Amino acid sequence: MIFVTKLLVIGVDGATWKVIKPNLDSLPVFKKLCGEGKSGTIVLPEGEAVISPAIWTTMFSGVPGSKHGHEKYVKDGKLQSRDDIPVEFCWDKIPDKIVALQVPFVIPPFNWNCDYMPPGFGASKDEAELRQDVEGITAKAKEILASSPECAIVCYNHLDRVQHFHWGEDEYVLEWYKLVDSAIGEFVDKAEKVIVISDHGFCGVGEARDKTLPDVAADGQRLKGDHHEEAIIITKGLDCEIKQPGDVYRAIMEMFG
Amino acid sequence: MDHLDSLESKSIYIIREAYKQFHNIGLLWSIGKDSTTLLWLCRKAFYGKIPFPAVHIDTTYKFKEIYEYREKYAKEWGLDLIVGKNEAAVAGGMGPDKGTKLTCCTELKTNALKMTLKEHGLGAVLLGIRRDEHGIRAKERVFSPRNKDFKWDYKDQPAELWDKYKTEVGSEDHIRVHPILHWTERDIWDYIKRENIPIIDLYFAKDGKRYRSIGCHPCCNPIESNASTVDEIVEELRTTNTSERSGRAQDKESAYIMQKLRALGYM
Repeated sequence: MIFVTKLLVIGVDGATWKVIKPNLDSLPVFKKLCGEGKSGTIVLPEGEAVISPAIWTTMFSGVPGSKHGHEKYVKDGKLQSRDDIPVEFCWDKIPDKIVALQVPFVIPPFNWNCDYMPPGFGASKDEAELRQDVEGITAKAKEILASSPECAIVCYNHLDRVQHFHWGEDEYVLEWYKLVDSAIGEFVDKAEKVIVISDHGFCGVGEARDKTLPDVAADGQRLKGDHHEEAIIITKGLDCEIKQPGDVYRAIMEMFG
Repeated sequence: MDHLDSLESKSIYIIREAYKQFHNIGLLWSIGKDSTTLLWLCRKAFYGKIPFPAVHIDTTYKFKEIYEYREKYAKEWGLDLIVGKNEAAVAGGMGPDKGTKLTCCTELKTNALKMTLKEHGLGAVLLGIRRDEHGIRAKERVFSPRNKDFKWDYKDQPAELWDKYKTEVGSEDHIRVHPILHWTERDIWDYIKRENIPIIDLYFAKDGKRYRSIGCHPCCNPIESNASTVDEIVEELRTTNTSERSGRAQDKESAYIMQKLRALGYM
């Protein structure tokens, strides 16, 4: 089969092997990808903030968090936008070759060469809105891949939202992994090379190397899960190895830059 | 017919259509360039005398120039002016420093408007919003229904094909009519220039700064600019790459997102 799309990067915010590995039989797409490609664990280095805005920025700019300094969605009372982040992303350097959908280094998540606004602006924890968003992103991803970009980036941040408030509720969390697994399965075979990566893993509150969020959110709901420094990586057909988030940027630039 | 004539003609058609359908209609007049342009179009549509009230929602945090302008031109243009205010919230000290700015906007703008529409029996309002102004406004219809809670269901809006508008609403709903939805910021300034519409001074640069979008003074910041005339503003817009509302310290969308991020524990 000849693929027009050379590389598909699927970002799954907060995905962890702790849920995937024991449930591979319930997650056929992850299972197939692990079987066909290489899988491993990324251990985020000490000193780097284990928090989504920082890691997604690093992943697509190659600049470590300690240098770009973008760690929060809101800074000094102002919602951060792309222009507040002092880096050049891969899409800034090769603008015509990349389509990026819902990269969550800012809220609402960032799009490049495509248009999509998630329900709740990508900051929802409402179950119906999250489900609707998974469907919306998947439909948009299929549309993007049908237009044959050279490199496509598609991100889901729903597992992160669910795990923060439901970590430890194993069946409920697994249902969301199944939903994302099924969603990815609808388009993962449309590219020659595939990277599936999370920005961080998950664990119970108090078990993380660095506590990233408060015990209780502003609306009074208790957080049950926190970010863990071990993220997932699966690659299929890739020549280079992804050991750190910034290696994704280097892989993209090596292929298309 | 040139571009501005075409825009004007369509807007006047919408204004007249709205008035024909809803005699209990009002014009929301924030005193900004867009709503003042809309007011100007209404004057032209009805040969100088607008047959419905102009409603100004007073948050009490508007620039003093806005109040001065309002009094001067309401009198000069013979407007039936309604000033709406959420008196209870104002008396309770509501302001941008109390709670979130979203709460402030909700109380002093949205709830004040709800009360004003109810008090004056207005079932439809004309608004000077434009599609190019803000992402969410791109989804708007010319005739845009709101339910009794003022909610806008952008996924369930009537189609507007070939300038055919759906003007029926449910008994508890009200309708918002947007006669300048199809205009751009440049169009507005070109029209202001052509018609010589008096515009509030805040838009013109003083000491290297001017306001590009005005509202409540705690939430608006001037932009860097030396454009002190309408011509200079038109030229500035021709080359700018920043958004019109970039000077807004906190627009409603940002405030809403930040409220959601707080609920996620990110703030």
